[in-house]
Amino acid sequence: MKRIWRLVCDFLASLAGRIALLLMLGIASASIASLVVAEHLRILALQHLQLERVVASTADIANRFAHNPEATQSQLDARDLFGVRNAMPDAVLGEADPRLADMLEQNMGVRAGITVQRITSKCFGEAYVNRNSIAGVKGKIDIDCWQVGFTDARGVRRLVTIDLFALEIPHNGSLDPIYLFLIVLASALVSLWAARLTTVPLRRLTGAAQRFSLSIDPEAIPVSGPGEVRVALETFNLMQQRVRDGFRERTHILAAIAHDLQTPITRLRLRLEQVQDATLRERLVGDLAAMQSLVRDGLDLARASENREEWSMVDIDSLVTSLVEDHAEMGAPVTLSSQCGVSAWIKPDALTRCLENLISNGVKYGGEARLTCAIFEGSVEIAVADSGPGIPEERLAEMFEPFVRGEASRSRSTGGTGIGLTIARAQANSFGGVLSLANRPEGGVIARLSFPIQGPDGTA
Amino acid sequence: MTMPSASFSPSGGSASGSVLVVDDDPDIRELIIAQLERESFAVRAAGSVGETLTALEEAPADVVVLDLNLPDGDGLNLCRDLRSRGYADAIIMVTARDSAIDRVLGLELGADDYLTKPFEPRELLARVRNLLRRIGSNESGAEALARPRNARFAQFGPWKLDLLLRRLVTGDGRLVMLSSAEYRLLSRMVEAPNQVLGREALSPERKATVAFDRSIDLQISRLRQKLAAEKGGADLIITVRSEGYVLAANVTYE
Repeated sequence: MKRIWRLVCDFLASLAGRIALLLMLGIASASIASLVVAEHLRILALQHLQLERVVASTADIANRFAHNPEATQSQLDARDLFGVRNAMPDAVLGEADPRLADMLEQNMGVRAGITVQRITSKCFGEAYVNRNSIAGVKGKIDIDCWQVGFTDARGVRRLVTIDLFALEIPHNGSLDPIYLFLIVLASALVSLWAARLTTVPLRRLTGAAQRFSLSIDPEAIPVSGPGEVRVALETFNLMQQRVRDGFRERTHILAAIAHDLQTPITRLRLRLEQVQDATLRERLVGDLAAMQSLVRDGLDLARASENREEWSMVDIDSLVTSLVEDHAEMGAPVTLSSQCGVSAWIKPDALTRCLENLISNGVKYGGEARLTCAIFEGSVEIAVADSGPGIPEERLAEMFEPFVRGEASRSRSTGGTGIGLTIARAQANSFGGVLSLANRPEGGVIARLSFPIQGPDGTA
Repeated sequence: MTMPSASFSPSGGSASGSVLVVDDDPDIRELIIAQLERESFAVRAAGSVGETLTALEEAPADVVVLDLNLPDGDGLNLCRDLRSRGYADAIIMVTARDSAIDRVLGLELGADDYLTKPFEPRELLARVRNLLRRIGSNESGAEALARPRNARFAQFGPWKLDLLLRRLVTGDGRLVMLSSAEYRLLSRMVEAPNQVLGREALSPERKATVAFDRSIDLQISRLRQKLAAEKGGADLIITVRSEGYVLAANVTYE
């Protein structure tokens, strides 16, 4: 129950939810309001019809008086006319109906001196009681009566009672709960569909931005859909292009510097062979090697962010064990304690370089590198743990920034350039990998690299 | 212009051999020459594509150390040109560009080896010596015919060995990575299939300790495990008791 409530809350907090709710309320209330208005108009029209019948009756009796007043009066006295009688002396009169008076005046002329009043008392007396039931009419009969006074064509003032069957307004089914429910349901469905439709481009943008955040070199989004959406997608593609250009420019500058530095470094390296003093030569070679690794790492970093390596299906265990064996062969304390037995759709060189950097960091700063490989919910997680002093908790996040070292004094002696982790993360990102760093409770740092077994487009 | 394709005497007793150094930077050129001359190679130098062609016309060189950036052309094109004209001797490419694309391209265009600047002087010497040795053995050994110069894959059983990127590829394109030691062993076996290779032959760089070294057996067993992962790859490496190992498969190149 709580989960359902949370789902509803989440939905209403989303743009789609709000649009859907707003549209649903709007459509439902508009249709219900129009139904109510239509019902009101229908009732008015029926009332108007009744009044017209009163007018017609009045016109008829006025006409009779005009042509043959004596006969008409005797007919009235004998109650031979249907729907019209002599005025009842004991009738209780209601208020005058101005609408009806207007209609009568229009029909018979102002000079007729028309007065008309609804009779609110039981207008028919016991007139119908003795009679048999009327064909086609069932049950109790409601009669509406009006007292109409007018001056006939000969100038005689007449006062009659008009009686008509009360018009029973037929029941209108459209405001039944079942129809109201159908209206609400239909508007809810339309709203959901409309909300979905509006958020589709947003979701496409989100997906594209997500891919862009993982890899600097994704495909441009195909531009399609309504005008505004197209403009947004074009703008996004343009931004993506600009960012990519910026990165490429940075890469080119870095690559150019590194490239041009390599020639003088090569010269220097070759010249150093001529230095006679062996100790001095060794030191100079060491310094030059440090410079060289900085140039190389800088170039690596620049290249890592626009990795153009092809994706391949790679046996992960073979890659990890090969790395571990290579290091172990060189005498480094690198071990692997569990394998994961899967192949994944990745960029093999990028994964290798990423792990290389993690392993060499572990060995350099933590005395060893212990690797494990495991599967978690469709992702491969490779962890590299060391048993060094660890990193202060608050500095863990900044370790991924370029040129940040764990501890200045110690890393100077180890000769790190401080961009190993930056490169590792850039390499990991190039194939959808996520790299995180944590302190182990038993001491030392653990770097966790996780990446999906299947590629971002589901290829595998 | 006819390209020289003379045969060379295998580099026997002394470290003699002729080397042509091609680099547009005169300082580097001189320094490399100095390095090589110290090892008593016969060294000449060229600073451009034109000079290289002239020098090779005058006399062949066993090894050409070729820089990629030349004032009048690209080392990659020069390399391809030389090969298409039938130049058969060794070429080492030297470049500041350290990207896999260049390496792959260079090797596919017919270079025999690849060195990135800045390099250790000892590394260059080792590569030159290594190439001279290969030329020597190529001319005497039978396997010279087996491996075309710009072959990238050696196929055996259900596997392909990527000689450039140093990894195994299955029939459906799945990659299985190899450690350096595993690649070393496997590439030696692929060069001499169906022949019994002793520990010395498989691991000459460990000659001194090889008699006691059990690590080859360990590496072979790991290699077997990797090869067995594909159907039909189980019995590719056979142990010959007290002699060594055999790659029991025919190798084709593509």
